[in-house]
Amino acid sequence: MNELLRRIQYLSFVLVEVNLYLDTHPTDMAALNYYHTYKALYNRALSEYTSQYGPLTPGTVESRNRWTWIDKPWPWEREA
Amino acid sequence: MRNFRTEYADKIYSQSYINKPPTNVSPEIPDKSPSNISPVNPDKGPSFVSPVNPNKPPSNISPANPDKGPSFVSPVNPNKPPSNISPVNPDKGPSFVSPVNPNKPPSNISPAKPDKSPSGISPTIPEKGDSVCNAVNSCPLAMAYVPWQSWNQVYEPPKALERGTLFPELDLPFLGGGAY
Repeated sequence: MNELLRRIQYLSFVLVEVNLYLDTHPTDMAALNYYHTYKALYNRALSEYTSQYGPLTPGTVESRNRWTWIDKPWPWEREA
Repeated sequence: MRNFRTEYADKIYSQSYINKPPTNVSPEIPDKSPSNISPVNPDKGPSFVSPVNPNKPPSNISPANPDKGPSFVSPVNPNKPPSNISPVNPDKGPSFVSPVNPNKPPSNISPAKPDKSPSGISPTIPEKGDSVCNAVNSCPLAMAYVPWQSWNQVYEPPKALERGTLFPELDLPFLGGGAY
């Protein structure tokens, strides 16, 4: 799998995990700092991916002259 | 392996049953004192049963008043004879305790032994013989205990995805019969 895609996967996973933790510990600064650190890493990986391979989700379509979401290859069809 | 689970169970055990090791009393024992849930001192940590005046006759769960909607622990009436789980009228809606013969002596908690359970519902306890299971078996029925999580060391993100959790303390793979 694309290493960048894999990084996005595990970063989004830990964001969900810390999200659930923060739901019950909203003032836990260690967890909140962790969240923002990894949110920044996630955003960076996502924009890096999008600029190289196109939108990963419809929400990341940035083109102003074409709806690039439908362009192949799909994220799961990409090799390496 | 994960001793904290045992330690936690022991902690709960000692807080909930101050000075009194819980025992499961079979309803077949007629002369047993009708109290399994000891009076709880409100000053001493978590309490799952509302404070009971120790001078009152032992009574923890009094007869539910049908006029007052769902009530699982109703106020204690000091004039009532010792009774912990009152005879349940099968006509009165849902009941989590099977009907008790009113002629029998007071009893508290249904027996742990599955074959003696009057309700026919027995907890599924892994027969590991460890103290966690024994402590859980002695706790009041239908009480859930969730330790408060705190932020400790967390896995690195790739490891977290692989393990299915960010938190090492929650990395408890199910191994058929319990998580260890």
